[in-house]
Amino acid sequence: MASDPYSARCAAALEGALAAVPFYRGWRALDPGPDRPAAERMAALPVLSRADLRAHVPDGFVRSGFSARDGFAAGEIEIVTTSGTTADRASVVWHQPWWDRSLREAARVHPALEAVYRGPHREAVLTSPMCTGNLCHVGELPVAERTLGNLLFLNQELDPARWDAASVRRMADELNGFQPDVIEADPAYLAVLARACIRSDTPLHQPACISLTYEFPSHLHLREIRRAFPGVPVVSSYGSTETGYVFTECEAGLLHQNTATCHVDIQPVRDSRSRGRLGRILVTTLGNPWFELLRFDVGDLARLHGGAPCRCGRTDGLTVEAIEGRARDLTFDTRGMAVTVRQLDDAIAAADGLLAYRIEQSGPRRYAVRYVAEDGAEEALAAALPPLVRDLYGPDAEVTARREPTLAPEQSGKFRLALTTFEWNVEELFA
Amino acid sequence: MTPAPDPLAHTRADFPLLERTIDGRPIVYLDSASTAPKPRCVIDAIVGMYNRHTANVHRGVHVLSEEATEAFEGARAEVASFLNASPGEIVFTRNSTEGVNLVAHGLGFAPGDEVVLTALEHHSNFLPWRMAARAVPVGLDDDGMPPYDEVERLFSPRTRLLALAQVSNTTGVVAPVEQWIAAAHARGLPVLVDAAQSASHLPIDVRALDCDFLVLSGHKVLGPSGIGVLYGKRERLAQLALYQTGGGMVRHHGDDGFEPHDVPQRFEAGTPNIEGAVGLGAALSYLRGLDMDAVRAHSLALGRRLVEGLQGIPGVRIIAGSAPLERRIGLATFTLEAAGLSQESLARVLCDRYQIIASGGYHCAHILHDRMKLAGTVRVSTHVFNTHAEIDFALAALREIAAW
Ligand SMILES: Cc1ncc(COP(=O)(O)O)c(C=O)c1O
Ligand SMILES: [Zn+2]
Repeated sequence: MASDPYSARCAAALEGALAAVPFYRGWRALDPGPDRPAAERMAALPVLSRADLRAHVPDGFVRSGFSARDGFAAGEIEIVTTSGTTADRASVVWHQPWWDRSLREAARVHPALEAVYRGPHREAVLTSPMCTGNLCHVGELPVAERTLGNLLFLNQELDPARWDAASVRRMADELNGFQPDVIEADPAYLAVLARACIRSDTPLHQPACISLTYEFPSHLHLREIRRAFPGVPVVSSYGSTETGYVFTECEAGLLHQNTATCHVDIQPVRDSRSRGRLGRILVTTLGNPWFELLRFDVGDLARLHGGAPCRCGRTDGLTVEAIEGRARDLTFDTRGMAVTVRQLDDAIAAADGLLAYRIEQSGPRRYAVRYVAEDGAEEALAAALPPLVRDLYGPDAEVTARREPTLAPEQSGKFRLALTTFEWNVEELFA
Repeated sequence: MTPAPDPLAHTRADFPLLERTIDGRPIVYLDSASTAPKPRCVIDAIVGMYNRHTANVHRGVHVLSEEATEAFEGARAEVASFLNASPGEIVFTRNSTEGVNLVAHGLGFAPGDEVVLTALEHHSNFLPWRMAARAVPVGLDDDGMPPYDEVERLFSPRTRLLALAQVSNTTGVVAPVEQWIAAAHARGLPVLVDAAQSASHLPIDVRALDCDFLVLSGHKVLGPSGIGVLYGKRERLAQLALYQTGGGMVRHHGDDGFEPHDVPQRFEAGTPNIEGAVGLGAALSYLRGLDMDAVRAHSLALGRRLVEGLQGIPGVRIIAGSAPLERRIGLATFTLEAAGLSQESLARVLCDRYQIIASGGYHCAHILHDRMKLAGTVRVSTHVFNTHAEIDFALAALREIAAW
């Protein structure tokens, strides 16, 4: 199995976890053994879920020989809990040096990010104030209390729709004062800030690079962000509190896996439910004895890149064409084929005057679009959106469109672009 | 530990929420001090109103309105019986908070007037007094207990009222309400009792207590949210200034003015929460059916098990841990020194790993946490349906976490 160093590390991670990490004791019998190819061994194992993390953190995922107790006492690790409803909640054993390494290694995929993360740098973070581990920045904290070393946390509102002119001004001023080399942002939040600054002629500090993470970047978001930061490289980064940084966009626009701190399997969606190399992202962490994850289902989908190697020349690890959004945000066309958030976004986000949208599917052929329109674009959008939705879901789709003053984020701070109001089982797609 | 009897265990079947699972395992609901699950009879009473008796109260002459009025006033009578009051002394409010605000607003305090209370009071029994007058709290000892005996030292010529929770939502300790009432009445001062917590755990007899006002919240006594009760002695209620005006509270309105109804209706402007009141009536009737003395005994037993168990866990600090066990209900607030965990994360882990629903945070008692220099606490609280086995399960979970 161990033909090159990366494969050797993956094999060691697999064998080490099965042998010496308590949670995987029950998985051992399923391993076909070291003489089988690595991919086959991995595929024979179950998928690790957030429910498993909830039930077994911290002791379940610590390599034997490492004591969580000593780790806590020494300040090596802490427990970070994420909030929200079941799909988002997890407890994670957080080992800062490993996290930092995953960030640094993942950054190497893109020259602009690498240049920033290689050495000392300043970073501004713009996301939901709830999203940053145990830290909570809701309220009216002075800038000093939101600055942690080289990090500045900009946002204090749960919903960016509540930013008034003063808070936009404050964030712009703080960026201009702090002069970050990189802004790491939730695209939905940065898009609102970008738009507000352009409309109010507020000058915005131009960092060396912008890294978009936390949730799916819509064309809507990218449009506003590129307008406010012309010429600044905007890089998609994909990761999670549980897995560290996993995929990074290269200068050619594809995403490459971070092979230093993780291995990734893309478990394909059944052909009868989707077209073309779509699967869910299963992450195996490498090199973190405090929190060893095997085939952890982050809950997101990706589309593997097919055909020729990427123009950037990278060949190690997986290359994906795009992160396609959360599995639970899938909707279905009128023939029952899965439609990802990215497919939806490609289909409707280009509509003129569209500022935000959400699709709610309430039956096999029923779709409701809620949307926020730019002033003056209301009527045109009301006419334009239903045909776009029908093109995507099928000519027999029943589509209603309703204009909203704003669309609010979920409890977790993320903006859901698509949802079904009926129950369905994600696992069916992979059986 | 010795197996303990759970004489109220049969009630578990009455609560649909207790069938809820998280990650495939049943929940252990230990957060009733925040809000309590509802028994099916309450849910049915509310749904029954929607299904069969929707109509406004006190207004129509048709059959449905008379049925709705009867159910609504029947609920008032049920509340009155629960407290040993008369229906004319029962004002429906939204919750305890509104009851306190109604009184604080209605007494017409002058600048400099003082209200004596404890530093432990819930924000809802603190901020309204602070807004209307000067709040003068008895302090807190190192254990988080107010020196209740010192109340008389705080009396001044400007004292206008005493306000006190019968059971604190952070300590779970039963306060010497009788002693405060006697001290106040000796000077002709009225007392407001905050029964938001106690009503679920102790029999309450407002005549025997002789309190002047008492508030409670429906959602904590197994009833719905959005309905609460202000009890007041009739003459005390009659002295309160009007709180809100509008339909339903007025007997006559003409060019030359208006004449409000008598208490309690004069404080119930606008269409009331009819379904909420009916649900609350059903909830209190259910509780009385269990016998409030039995409810009290069960709560005390669970509180004893909980506190004794917590005392045996290394790294646990219980707020008011030194208070006598026989004065505690089934509630404890504590910190657990667990490596790598804030108190709020601890409450999350209890939920995520053990399906234990408990509170984490400040429980609307910032002053207490400030004084004790605590960055949050965890609170476990019981109701009639909880069992000793559930307390033991929570204790085992905490012991496990403490050993990480
Ligand atoms: C002692 C006490 N008083 C008052 C309240 C306020 O109750 P409500 O929020 O229902 O008005 C609470 C609620 O937690 C409480 O515990
Ligand atoms: Zn590339």
